[in-house]
Amino acid sequence: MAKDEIGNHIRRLRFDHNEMTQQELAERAGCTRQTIILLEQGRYVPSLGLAFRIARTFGLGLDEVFEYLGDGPAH
Amino acid sequence: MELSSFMVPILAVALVGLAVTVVFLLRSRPRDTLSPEERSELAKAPMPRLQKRAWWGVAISGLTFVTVSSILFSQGAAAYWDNDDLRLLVIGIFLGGLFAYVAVVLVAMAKDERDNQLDERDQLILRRAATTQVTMMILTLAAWLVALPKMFHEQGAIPTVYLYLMFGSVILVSLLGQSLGILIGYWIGGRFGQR
Repeated sequence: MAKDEIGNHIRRLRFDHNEMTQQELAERAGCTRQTIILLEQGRYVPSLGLAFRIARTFGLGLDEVFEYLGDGPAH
Repeated sequence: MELSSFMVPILAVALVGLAVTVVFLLRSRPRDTLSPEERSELAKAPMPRLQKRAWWGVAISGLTFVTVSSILFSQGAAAYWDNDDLRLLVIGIFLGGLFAYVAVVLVAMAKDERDNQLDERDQLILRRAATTQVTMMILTLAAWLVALPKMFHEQGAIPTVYLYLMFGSVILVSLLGQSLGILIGYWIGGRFGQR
């Protein structure tokens, strides 16, 4: 079954926001630092709730932080 | 009647089952592994609370399982039934391990969840750990099912003491399976990412 690939600009946005650390972002978004790392590496697709919380932390809309890259390879 | 004669197939089947589960989980993941830089970045992050609890869980349930098994291996199942002191000792160790697991792992985990200390990825790993847990329980029961009729085929009856041993082993394997399932989840995440 094909899986949706979701990209994001979290790493760049952190640096644009006073070089916010992964730990700070994790605390504000309500997740662990490991989750932020996997998100930045594109190794984890967040729930809508977490995606909205991250976007809100940066004061941006969802589509300014995340982008739909289409169907990934079938697994 | 030697306890080791039926523990060997039980352990063998349980180990094969665990290996099959790990292989299945690995094969169901994307093949592209994290680069050394990505893994190194992930390794620098603090260990999530759930992962710490799982290590405690493996230590407590593993230690209890090994201790009880060693006693039963050395003394034999019949001695467990006939010797009141031995039975009390085994039940004491079993209940001690059980209560320690409930207090250190399950209650603490529920508190973490209530206090929003478990994020959605932790909860995903926790839910998926149930697969490992149930698989290990079923395989343990299957091992008993294979071993007992083989051992007591001649007698035509299985001593009731084995009902208690079956129950105890399934409970301990269930606890061990949950913690191992959580650790496998984090290991997969650290190797392939969490999909």
